[in-house]
Amino acid sequence: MRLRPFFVLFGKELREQTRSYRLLIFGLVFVFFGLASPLLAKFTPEILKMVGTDQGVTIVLPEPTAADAVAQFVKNVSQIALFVLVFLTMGSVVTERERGTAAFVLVKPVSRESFLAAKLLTLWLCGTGAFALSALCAYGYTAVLFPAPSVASFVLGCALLLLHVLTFVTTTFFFSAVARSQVVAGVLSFLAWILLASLGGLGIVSEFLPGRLLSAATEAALGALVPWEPLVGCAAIIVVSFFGAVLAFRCWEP
Amino acid sequence: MDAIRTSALAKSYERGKVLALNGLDLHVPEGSVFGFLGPNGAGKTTAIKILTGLVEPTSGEAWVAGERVGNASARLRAQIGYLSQEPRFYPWMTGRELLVFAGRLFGTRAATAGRRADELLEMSGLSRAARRRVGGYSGGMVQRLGIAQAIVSEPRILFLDEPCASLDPFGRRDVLEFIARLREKTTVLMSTHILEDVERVCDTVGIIDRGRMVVTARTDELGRRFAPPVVELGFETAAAAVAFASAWAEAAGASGPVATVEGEVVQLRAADLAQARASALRLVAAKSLPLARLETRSASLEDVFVRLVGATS
Repeated sequence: MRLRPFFVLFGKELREQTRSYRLLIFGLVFVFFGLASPLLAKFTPEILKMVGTDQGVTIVLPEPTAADAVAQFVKNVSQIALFVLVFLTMGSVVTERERGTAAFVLVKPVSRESFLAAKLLTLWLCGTGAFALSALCAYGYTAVLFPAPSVASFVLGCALLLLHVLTFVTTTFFFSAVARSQVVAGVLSFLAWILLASLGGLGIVSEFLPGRLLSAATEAALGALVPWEPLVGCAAIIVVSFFGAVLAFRCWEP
Repeated sequence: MDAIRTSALAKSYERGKVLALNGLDLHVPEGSVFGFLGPNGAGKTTAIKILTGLVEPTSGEAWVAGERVGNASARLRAQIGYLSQEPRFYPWMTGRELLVFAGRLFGTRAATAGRRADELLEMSGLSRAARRRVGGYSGGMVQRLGIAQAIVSEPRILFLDEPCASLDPFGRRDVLEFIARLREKTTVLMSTHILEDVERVCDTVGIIDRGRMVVTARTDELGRRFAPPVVELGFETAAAAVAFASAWAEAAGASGPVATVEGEVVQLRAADLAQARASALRLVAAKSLPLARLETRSASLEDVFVRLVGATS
């Protein structure tokens, strides 16, 4: 893979993310969940108490803690934010194939691997940037509303959550390279997501699945040790997805 | 020396059910402007896509600029330029950004790519639209931008798939003049349906039909070799033309020159034109037919095309 064309493609991808407002949407969605999660954790019990009082029922809930705020953040990012992320990623390769712009680039001295790598790296970078902003907001609000968790533990927990997000970005990217349309890529990505989630009950296998990272992220943010199995599982999914995308894309003919 | 050469090139789709190329043997001399002619579905675009490394052949071999063709060959792609049949570019880029981007993909530094982009924008008449988004360009502007990006790296070999397809007469004239200027410095392979364009700029012509090369020859030789000159008689009425043709068939016999009728015009194809003309005039006089004109003309590329492609069809 020659480096200069790669960086030219990478620059183009970054500009495209900015001009199409995808970067902005990435950022806004993640910041929203970063800010909303500690708030939801703090005020949900109070809201429920008020609703109960209106109806003559007394709901007693334990006092919320920083752990609830972290758990809420992990849940929001791993569900709704990830859903948005899949929507923003599913067209990354297939749209270029459909529109004919991939052929315009690939007839130049550019390898198909560079073309894909530049795209994936940009998606990762945008995802990481938006996530970092979100995590910063989540930590700030958590520290304001609750006794602040340790920064190192919180960062570690966020790193695990980020790995979970990037794993799904990469699988969506794979389906975008394989599928014939954006819609098919999106549907396949969600099916893969559901499949991986439903394998959670399969004993030792579940330890290696990305879903295991979610509980590990919540625990790690509060100081627990990080299990190695989901790290290996996610790394394997990322590598297989990327090289699968490369193989499929090598066979593609405009 | 051949700039482009293919040997028994074949490409099939849908597990062999559709044969786009069927043993194509193509030889394009270096420095020539090669007109790649053929009816719709003849395999022109498939052949170009294989030669540019975008598509893998099912069998056979191809060489471009001495490099064996394959989609992994970046060295080959560094030496070619390509304009697709329906050029598509990033609509969010401006015309200038697109040319700079295309230039930089060839490894050119940003400043050099910028200068080259300005030069090409000027050359293609797009300077005023340089900072406008490509998404807002008209069809003709996109076509001109397409040609500009195809030559951004000053390629040794240029592939143009229907370059004049969506141009107005002025744009078409400019593009053809531009292609003609590239001669000697660049080998151009240009696919087209427009025979007039081929006659205007191409020095060599290849006619492809059903995935096979029917003929390759120099443009000026083609008519002589494949369609002899014709004697054309224009009558005042269609009935007179028909009467002449039947009298001619009777007089010339089965082995004589054939007369074809189209409306009021009769065409005679004969090896000995002088004799055919004299015989025709004698017959007109004998039958007292109302003749409006008589002329001898060389066969056009259209005559050759219809004759050769018609024969294989």
